[in-house]
Amino acid sequence: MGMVKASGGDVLLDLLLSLEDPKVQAAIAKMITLLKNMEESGLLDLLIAVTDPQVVEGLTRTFLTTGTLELADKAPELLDTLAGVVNALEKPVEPKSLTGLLSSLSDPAVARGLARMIEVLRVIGSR
Amino acid sequence: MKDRKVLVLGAGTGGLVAANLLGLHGYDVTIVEKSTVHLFQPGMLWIAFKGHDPSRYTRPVEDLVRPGVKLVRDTVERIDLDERRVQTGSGRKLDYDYLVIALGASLDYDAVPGVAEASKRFGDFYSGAESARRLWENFNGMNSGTLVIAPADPLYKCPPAPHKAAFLAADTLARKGRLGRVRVVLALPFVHEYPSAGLARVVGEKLKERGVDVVTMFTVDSVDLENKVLYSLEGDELRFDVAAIIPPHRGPRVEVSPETVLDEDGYFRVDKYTLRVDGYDDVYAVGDCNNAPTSKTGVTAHLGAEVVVDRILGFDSRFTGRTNCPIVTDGEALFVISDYDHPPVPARFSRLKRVLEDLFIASYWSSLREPEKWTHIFHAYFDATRPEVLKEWGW
Repeated sequence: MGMVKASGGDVLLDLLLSLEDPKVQAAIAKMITLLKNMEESGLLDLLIAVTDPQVVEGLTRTFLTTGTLELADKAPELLDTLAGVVNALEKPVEPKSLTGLLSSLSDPAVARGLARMIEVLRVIGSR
Repeated sequence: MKDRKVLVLGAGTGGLVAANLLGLHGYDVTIVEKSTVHLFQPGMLWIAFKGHDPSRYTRPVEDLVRPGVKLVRDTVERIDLDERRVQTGSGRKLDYDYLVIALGASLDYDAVPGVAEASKRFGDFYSGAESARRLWENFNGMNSGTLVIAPADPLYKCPPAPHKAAFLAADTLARKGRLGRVRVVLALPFVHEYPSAGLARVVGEKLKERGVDVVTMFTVDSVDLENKVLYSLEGDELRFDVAAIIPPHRGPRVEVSPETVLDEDGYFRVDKYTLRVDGYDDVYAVGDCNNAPTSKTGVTAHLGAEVVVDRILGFDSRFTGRTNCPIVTDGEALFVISDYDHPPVPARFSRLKRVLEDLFIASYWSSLREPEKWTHIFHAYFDATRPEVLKEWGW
């Protein structure tokens, strides 16, 4: 009733048989061109180095962090906010005097924006 | 090391991860599994509510066992922990140096009247691929009426499963333009829309947004299939045209000596940090079959299996009860992240998490057969998303 797992003989046969499929043949031909290009440009050597287990582990530890995940999670909002900031930076403005600054605070949007900037300062200052 | 014999009972997530890792480390491992096929259980939701083909979520067990690990297709009849012997259905007697019990939980249809009949009639998303397929046929055939999704008991594996079911069902109906005519009702035996009050608001809002009606404080007492009514212990009733009921759960159906290692629901009593079965230093219970005080999920089974392997290898690794339960809806997902020391962190639905969940599903088969290939990525993720780090902002 029990069975012991066989070794990989059948897998090899399946692989060889798949070569009869013209799509597989086309794909392999393209892969060879791709590999050739990567070899000539040095990209292949770079990839081999990058896939060194130690490097993969290091890259993972460095970039798969709480901050990355938080940012990535908020990517749509982040990009929208950044776009808003860039647009604002490109808008033509006149420098403000002190009285001009104070009267800007009566604009609720500016007052809210200032409150948000203070929150940002609070977070940075708390680290 | 080759003469350290490890017997693994069950080729589910926990069993396969444990067996394949120990096999990699040169142990003499034998898995006993009654089925020829391994089912990725969350797939039943997609089969039942999205009409996916079951073949997407099943693989032959032998394809998931690495060379060198022995696989015995048989049932486990009796476990004798003092004799250190396991007896199989065909009468085989197997002994061990280490025993890893990963038999899962069992479904106890008869514990609530009408559940067995409901499952037979409509199918469900817990019994198996075939039952899920039957549920798809019933659900997809609805042009009007009410679909009720309800756990028959507050304890079941994968706490967000009924919510996922409701989301996927509502999304499918919306795509087909039937959401106005077919009502999706999620009936829960909890006070809030989610067992964790902190997440109840976020989950509740999303359910409402997706057109799901939620009924809380509804603990199924019986299912009247003839009149198509669900009755609750609280004295309420719910009419349905199709009912997708999650059957009550129990520990695995297996004779165990001594019986005292099982709790009153049939789950193996374990030390919650080491997953050692109480009273035995060479026996571990991994996954749904144990009584560890955390959710019964694939993630907890996988992480538990890694702890057990590390302990057998001689490291003082500890199980933290960490969960990472996905609540998925079309295009978005949320993770319920908690552990023994922390309730679920604040969470929000996002597209990224749905992508991560899809990525995890795509990696599933590889992560069972060659868990070591995924260890550093999984651990970097779990480390970056520890509850104590996410606590303030949530994720």
